[in-house]
Amino acid sequence: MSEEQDQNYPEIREAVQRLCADFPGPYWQKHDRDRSYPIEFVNALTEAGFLSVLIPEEYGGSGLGLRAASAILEEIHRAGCNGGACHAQMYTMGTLLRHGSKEQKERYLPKITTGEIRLQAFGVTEPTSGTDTSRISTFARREGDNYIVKGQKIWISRAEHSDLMVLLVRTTKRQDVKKPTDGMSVLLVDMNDAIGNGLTIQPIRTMLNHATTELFFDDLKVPVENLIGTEGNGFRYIIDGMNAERTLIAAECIGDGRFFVDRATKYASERSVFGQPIAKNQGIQFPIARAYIQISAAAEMVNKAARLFDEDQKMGSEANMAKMLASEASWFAADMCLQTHGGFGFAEEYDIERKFRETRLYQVAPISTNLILSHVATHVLGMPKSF
Amino acid sequence: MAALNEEQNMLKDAATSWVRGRAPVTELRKLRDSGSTLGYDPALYAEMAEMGWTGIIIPEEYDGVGFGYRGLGVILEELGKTLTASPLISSSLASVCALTLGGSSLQKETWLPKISDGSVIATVAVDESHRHAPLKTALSATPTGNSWTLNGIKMPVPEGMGANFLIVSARTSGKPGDRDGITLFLVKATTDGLTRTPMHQIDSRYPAKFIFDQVSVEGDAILGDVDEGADLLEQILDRACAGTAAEMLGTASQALETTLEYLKIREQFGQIIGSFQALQHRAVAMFGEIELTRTAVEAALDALDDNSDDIPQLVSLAKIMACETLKLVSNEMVQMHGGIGMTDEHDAGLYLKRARVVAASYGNAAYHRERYAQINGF
Ligand SMILES: Cc1cc2nc3c(=O)[nH]c(=O)nc-3n(C[C@H](O)[C@H](O)[C@H](O)COP(=O)(O)OP(=O)(O)OC[C@H]3O[C@@H](n4cnc5c(N)ncnc54)[C@H](O)[C@@H]3O)c2cc1C
Ligand SMILES: Cc1cc2nc3c(=O)[nH]c(=O)nc-3n(C[C@H](O)[C@H](O)[C@H](O)COP(=O)(O)OP(=O)(O)OC[C@H]3O[C@@H](n4cnc5c(N)ncnc54)[C@H](O)[C@@H]3O)c2cc1C
Repeated sequence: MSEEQDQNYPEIREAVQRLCADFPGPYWQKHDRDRSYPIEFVNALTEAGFLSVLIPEEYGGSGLGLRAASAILEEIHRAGCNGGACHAQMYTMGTLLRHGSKEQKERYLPKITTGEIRLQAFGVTEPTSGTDTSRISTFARREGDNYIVKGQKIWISRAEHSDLMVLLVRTTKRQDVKKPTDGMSVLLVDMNDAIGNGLTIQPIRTMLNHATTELFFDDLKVPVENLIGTEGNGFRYIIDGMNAERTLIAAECIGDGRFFVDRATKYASERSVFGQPIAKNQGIQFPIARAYIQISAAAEMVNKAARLFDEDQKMGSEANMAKMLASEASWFAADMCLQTHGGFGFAEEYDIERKFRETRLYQVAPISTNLILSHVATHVLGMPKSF
Repeated sequence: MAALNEEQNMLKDAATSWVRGRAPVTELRKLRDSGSTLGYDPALYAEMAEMGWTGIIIPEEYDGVGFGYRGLGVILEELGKTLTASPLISSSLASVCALTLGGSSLQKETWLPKISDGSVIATVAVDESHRHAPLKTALSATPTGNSWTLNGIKMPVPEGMGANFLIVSARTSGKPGDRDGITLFLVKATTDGLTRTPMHQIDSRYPAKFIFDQVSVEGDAILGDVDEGADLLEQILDRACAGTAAEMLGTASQALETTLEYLKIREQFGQIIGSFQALQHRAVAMFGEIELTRTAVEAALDALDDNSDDIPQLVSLAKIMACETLKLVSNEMVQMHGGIGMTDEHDAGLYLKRARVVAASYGNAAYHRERYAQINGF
């Protein structure tokens, strides 16, 4: 397909494709059926260095930036694989990198680069405060050299497969601060110490294999030295991490969309009904063409967001817009692809129904469509906030 | 389509053949090019009156025929097919309901027979800006002895340029937005202090802008009770709205019909474009929407005839469906005609423009969605 011509990082893309070829449909079908963690795939990506492209060279990473990371995740998804098991290993360290102390960085980043330490859990969402982050109630009370954490988090993905977790807590109650986003802090939680000592993890089964969990904190001790930055400023520290996350998720959607278009094109050209390939019907070929057009347009926005990030420019709105456009385009493509495959789309061995379930997530997480619309309405267009 | 009774079938046949013979879309073009700012053709309206259509829902004791809302709906649907401009909804539906539901016997005796024979045209003046918001009525009415003085603006008032009298919603207490404090008045168009100017609309109709400057009316000009007109007003608007939805249904079905005819004759790439699946599938989708709309419109009209409890819901539902469907079909009408659909010579543009205007009259889809949600406690 012609879009290859203007795609960046061709060598990286090719290398990722080669790696993914070792993890074909049946591999994912098995993990999906068992809801098990695709550790072999994660290890392969780690060893190949694909998960440390955002880590600067001084800490052992390749420091390539968000465009390279986007290319990697896009190719993973286009190949029918799923980056959800480990994509956060790429970007969660951003909070530590940009706001951690020199000691913290030297202690952790080299080992995150090698994969010896997995930092891929990001604890923000709570049962009663979903999108409304300033209303989180998980609280860290200072006691000597420790914080004592009490509360609950939900939807925290990969918590069972992480050595460290970036955790957002309140250190001052919402009613006691000037701005609602003040008074929150970021703690780096050592999961191996925490489990059984105040932290309980409970897996949540979802419609896709995503290793997401619920966390219960019952007086968990976290050493004060694990505070990132200064107390009370945590909200600011996680925001730029979120922009990277949204851009990368969007790149995964682009990959999904291309997967669906590739598969639908191929199937429609081969499948013959009424004596001719079904692709000959406008009712089949037009939706495939429309999906391709929508994915191509969304890909431009993802590229733009990633470029601005790499150039250290403001890109919050672009990250949001990229995520919305890409997740809607991939969902349209998913629905189109399932429809194109007829009954066969529902058979597990085709991987369509699995990818269909997987790509649906991204209109909700990590931020839902309505909140993106609200962001653009208020922050870009200057209209009054609706809530 | 649910079955029509004998009278309704008669009406439908008469309307179909009259509309085809006497009021094709060329009549709207004539009206547009005539330079008249009345917004409809009085000669055509006189013919409608002669056939008794102006008295369809007027009880027989006031010289009407009492055939009910479904009967009137059948006619409005046919008129909608050729975009026929007429005061039938404002006068013989909305104003008639104002009188039958809220009028004194004197008011009924005076006006209903004249509306029925077409010699008098009435309209309901509610809105004061381009937004439909009945409770936002601000036009004030203050008592002085046995009479009332009205000051304010009403616009756009449908068929206001031809109206002999208006049913006006006025504020007699409270503030704009309050449900209490609205009173309905019957005001003759020739009353001192009342002036009207035409507003040019893209569908070649001319609603009026009325300015009330110290307009004085007697106490017997009131319909219903002082300060308690909101309920009555809502009932009137529900009826007008159901009729409007019926008209829109007709417009949408004809827009599809005209488009289908074109799909069957236009050749491109050596075959009729109707053989292309992409167009076929979209035509089928439109047909489905029109059938759903028909069900909703008929349910609303039947609810009015049965005077059932769920009139407001069903009317809002019908208007929402009619708005969405007509928008879809009028857009597709242009698109499927390709370049010719953009020309003035072709009717597609007339359907598109009428679709936009009629969608906004008596509340657009957003207004009725909000209302539907409120009524149902969402
Ligand atoms: C599989 C999975 C993995 C996840 N992983 C993580 C993770 O690793 N870490 C983490 O912190 N979180 C994670 N999440 C949580 C995710 O970020 C939230 O689910 C998401 O932000 C939406 O929040 P919510 O589910 O509480 O929905 P709510 O905030 O309750 O919203 C429900 C619906 O209401 C709409 N809505 C809410 N407010 C408004 C408004 N003001 N105007 C209009 N519409 C509104 C939303 O758009 C949404 O459609 C994950 C979720 C899932 C499902
Ligand atoms: C204002 C205006 C300015 C213009 N300016 C120029 C100009 O400067 N120069 C110039 O050369 N032309 C010009 N055009 C012409 C314009 O390019 C054509 O109108 C347009 O290409 C559509 O062709 P058509 O009108 O013949 O529609 P048709 O080809 O008859 O198409 C009618 C409908 O059928 C559909 N259709 C046709 N074939 C298929 C198919 N195989 N499968 C599925 N659907 C199909 C179309 O999408 C369309 O909806 C202009 C048109 C307008 C309205």
